[in-house]
Order: sequence, then C-alpha cells, then structure tokens
Amino acid sequence: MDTKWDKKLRDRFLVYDSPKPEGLWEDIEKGLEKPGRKGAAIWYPLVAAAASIAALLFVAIPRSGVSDKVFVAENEVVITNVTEDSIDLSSTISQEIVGQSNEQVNSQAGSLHRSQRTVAQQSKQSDSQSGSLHHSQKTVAQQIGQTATTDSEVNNSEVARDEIENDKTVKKAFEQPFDNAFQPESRAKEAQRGKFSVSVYGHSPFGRTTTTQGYGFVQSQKLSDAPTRVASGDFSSLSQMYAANTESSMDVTHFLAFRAGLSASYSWNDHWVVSSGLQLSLLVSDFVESSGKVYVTTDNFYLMAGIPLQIQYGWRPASWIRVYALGGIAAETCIDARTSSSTIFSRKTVSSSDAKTSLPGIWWTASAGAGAQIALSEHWGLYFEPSVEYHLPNGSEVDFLYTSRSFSPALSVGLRYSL
Amino acid sequence: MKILYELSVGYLTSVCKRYIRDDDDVKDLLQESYLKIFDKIGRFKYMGEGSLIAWMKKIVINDALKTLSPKKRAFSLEALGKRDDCDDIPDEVSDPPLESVPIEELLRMIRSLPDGYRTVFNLFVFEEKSHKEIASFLGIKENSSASQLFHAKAMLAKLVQDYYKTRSDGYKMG
Repeated sequence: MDTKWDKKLRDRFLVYDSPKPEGLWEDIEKGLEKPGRKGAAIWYPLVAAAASIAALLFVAIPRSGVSDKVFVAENEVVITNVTEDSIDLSSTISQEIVGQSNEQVNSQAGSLHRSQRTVAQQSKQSDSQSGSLHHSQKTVAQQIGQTATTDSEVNNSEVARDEIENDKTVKKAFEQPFDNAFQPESRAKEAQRGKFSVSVYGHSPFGRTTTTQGYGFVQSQKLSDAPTRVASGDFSSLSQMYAANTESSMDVTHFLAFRAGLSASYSWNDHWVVSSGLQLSLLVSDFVESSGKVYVTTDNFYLMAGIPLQIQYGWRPASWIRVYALGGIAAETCIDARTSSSTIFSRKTVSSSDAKTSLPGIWWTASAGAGAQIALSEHWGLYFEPSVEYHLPNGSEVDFLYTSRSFSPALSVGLRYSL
Repeated sequence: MKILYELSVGYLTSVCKRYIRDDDDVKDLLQESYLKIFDKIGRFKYMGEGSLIAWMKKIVINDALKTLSPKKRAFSLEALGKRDDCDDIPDEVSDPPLESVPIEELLRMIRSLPDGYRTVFNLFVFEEKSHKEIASFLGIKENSSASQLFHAKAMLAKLVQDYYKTRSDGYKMG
C-alpha cells in the first residue's frame, strides 16, 4: 500500500466531524466548577475570556488541509460589546458547523470582519486596556497568555495550576516525544523556528596540496620574502642560482585553510536562506628545499579576514534535519602575514629568520556545496557543509593556496542558534 | 468557552473515536481533555494556521494513548497473530478502494481493529509518525510497528472487501 492511500484516508477524516457525545458539555462545566479547583470563581471568567479569544482564532484559522477560502465562506464572526467579566463572542456560523447560530447573537457594538482581522472594543473592566484593540491574530494569541497571567486576580488560579502541575499524568501529556510531530502541517515551520539565526563555525585543514617544483638551487636569503612562483624546470625568475648542476628540489605544501567565522542568517521562506558574517582564515604554506645535506624550510602564514555571503536552498526530509544546497562568495584581505625560515645542514639548524611579510589585494572566493543541519534542540542546530571553493586570481604572484590551486575542498562544521 | 467547545468537539470526537473503541470512554476522555485544554489555554503559543486545533488534538491523542494501558498497547499484542481473526489475513495487501465507503463506516472499521493494530495505524497514517518514532513511544521494536501496521491495513482491506461484498449481495437479494 502506498502513501497515496494513506493521504486519501487522512484527507477524508480531516474534514469529518463526529456527532458530539451527549451531555459532554455539562460534564465539562461540572468539572470546571469542582470545589477542588481553588479560585475557580475568580479565574473562570478570565479563562472564559481566553477561551473566547481562542475561539476567535479557531474560527479565523481553518484547520490544516481545509481550504482557507472555503472556511472563510462558511464563517462570519461578529464580536459584541465586552462585558465586565468576559468577552462575549458572538458568532454567526453556518448550520453545518454549529446549528445554533441564532441563539449566540447578542446586541452588537461593533463588528469583526475576518478579512480585516481586527478585534472590536473591550470594556475597561474585563481587560486592562481601554479603547479599541486592533491586533493581528498573533498578538491576540499573545493576549491569551497575558489575560491568564498578568492580572493579579489570576494569582489565585496559581494554586489550581500548581495542583495540575504536580499531576504527573498532566505533566507527561506535554512532554516528548510527540511535540512537533502532532502538527505535521506546521512541522517544517516549527522546526525552522524564527527567521533569524546566528552561527559560529570553523573548519580545519583536512588536507593539503603538495607539489615538487623546481630543479636547481635557490639561495636561502631569497626566502626572506615570500617565494615567487617557480614553474617546474623554469629558473629564469630566480635572481641567484648556484651550481645549477647540483640536484635540488623544492616541496611545496599548501594546507587547506583553518577558518572560523560568525554568521547571521535570514530565512526568506521555508526554503531560501541568506547569510553573511565575518570569517578569519589562516593559510599556511610550507616550502622545503633540499639539496644534498642542506634543507631550507620556509613557512608562510597568512591571516585573512573576510566577509562571506551565502545563499541556501533547503528542505526538511524530517523534523530533525534540514538539508540544503549552498552557493556563496567571500571577499578576503590579508591582515597579517609572516614568514619564517630555517636552514638545516646535516640535521643542525644553522640559521633561522622570522619576519613580517605582506599579501596585498582583495581575494575573492566562490563556493558551492551542500549542507545538513541537525536539530539539537528547539533553537540549536549542528551543521556540516562540505563545499568546493574556487579562488579567483587577482594577478598576484605569491605562491600560496589561493594561487597554486584554483579549486580546493572545504568542510565547515558549525553551531547555529535560531532566534 | 462553549463556543470553542462547539467549534472543536466534532473534530476532536472523531479523533478520539479512532483511538478509543468504547463510546463511554470517548466521552470521559474528551471531558478530561477539554478540562486540560481550558486550564492550559493561557500557555498556548500561536504558531500559525492550524496550530490551535493541532495543539488541542495533541492533548486528546496523548490522553487517549495513556488510557490504552500497557496491557492493551501494541507491544503486548505481539501474540495477536494467534488470534482467530488474523488467520485469514493475506500475505500481500493491495489498496482497498475507499471512495465508495462512507466515512462513518470507515471509522467503524478502524475502531473494530484490535487495540495494538489500531494504535499503530492511527499514529502512522493520521499522525504521520515514523516506525522509529512509534516504536520509541510505545516501547516496541521498529519492525513490530511495521508488522502491526501491515496487519492493520490488511485487516482493514478485508473489512472493506467484506463491506463491498455485503453491499453487492444486498443488491442481488434486493
């Protein structure tokens, strides 16, 4: 059996209402007025007010899967004057939904048009706010929380709530494991949480590129500067060369970047995310020239500061994971550069030097890859982003990662906090 | 409060009936659930369209699953295969056509499933839980969940076929 059958069954039951059990409401009322519920006489009207506002939301918001237009066409909500103890919510609802619409209508002071989503006037006694109240649905929902918690009279209801809090069975009802999964229609939205998120990430070099270049002899004093590019077999750029017939070689290793960054992301919708931030990259290049018993090692360190810009397109195969394709570009500039070299003869260091150097210019890197973010909690996520970077040439002759290899792999691991 | 009740009771009753067989138990369960809903309404966090009814449904389903005592839950029904009414479940199941079956009849069929089958069936088909999640919640193995679902669908398919057969026999007799 395939999932289409499941969906058909689900869709049929989505819009099906069973006949309500007889006498249920009366039993509920008795339960609400039980002597054990301390402060019931005080908080009951406030809960009634909260529930009425929730009813407004219920009517205004169709259940998932039901066409918004159909639901709107069937319902028209009118809000009357607000009395001292509660908000009287009168609704004119089609017979299919309630069948008691005429009995619910009271005298009207204002009217609510669902398309405008406004709430009519509230009296001063029933709510701490005076005057007319215009809220979006979200703000009205927030009012539900405020109504129940900000009024000092509700303090008495704390006792009732504490009793319920202590009830382990009640407590368990709001615990895992179902939480998000029972809201499949908003699962993706809930898992994504807010529009904004911040993340800290890094990647360490998990590889290097090593080449053996050159055939000849390069004097050590030349190494106080960043070595110029040496094409294999081409020594014409070397200003000094001794004993060309002496075999020598140079091994060049460019480590993939150490990188750490801080980024902020904005979720355009369920799929598109754009992010930017600041990143620091440390690029290390290692040159080892050997000729007989002489080894000259040079290490160049470049600290690059950059601003990345990344766009992601993603989706959620499950509530706990988001996968995405990404593309981006980063502009970097070198903020610190150092070179250190040592000359080793017969395993003894005969000279060493350490000096600042420079790497001018702006370095552009384009990247493309994929990513996966695993939800660790409601707000925190851990993500992995393997990608390939292309370093755009800028005319520099300095031999380091960005100039020696146009393409280099990268793997970022980060922690993201969604607001 | 009554308006919220009136607007939601039909849907929540149908949800509850899918989990609980006995109508008296359904009524008791709905009473408990509504009391919790009204107590906790102040904590409800609006998260978009459908979130309110989904929140209310979650409370009802959690309560329904709690009432299904461990003895009645899916994991205790591993031996269900020994029951007589499972003997004629075919090895392979094809999709039973649902279009012509009235929904009240479908609900009756779902309610007639054994507790374990019905629970797994509801969680998988209606709540769209994975077998891993169902197994974790019910304390059964993942393949047990898959097996229970298969049997549930197979039994349902048979009930639908019997329904069509009864109808066509009725036509013939008429």
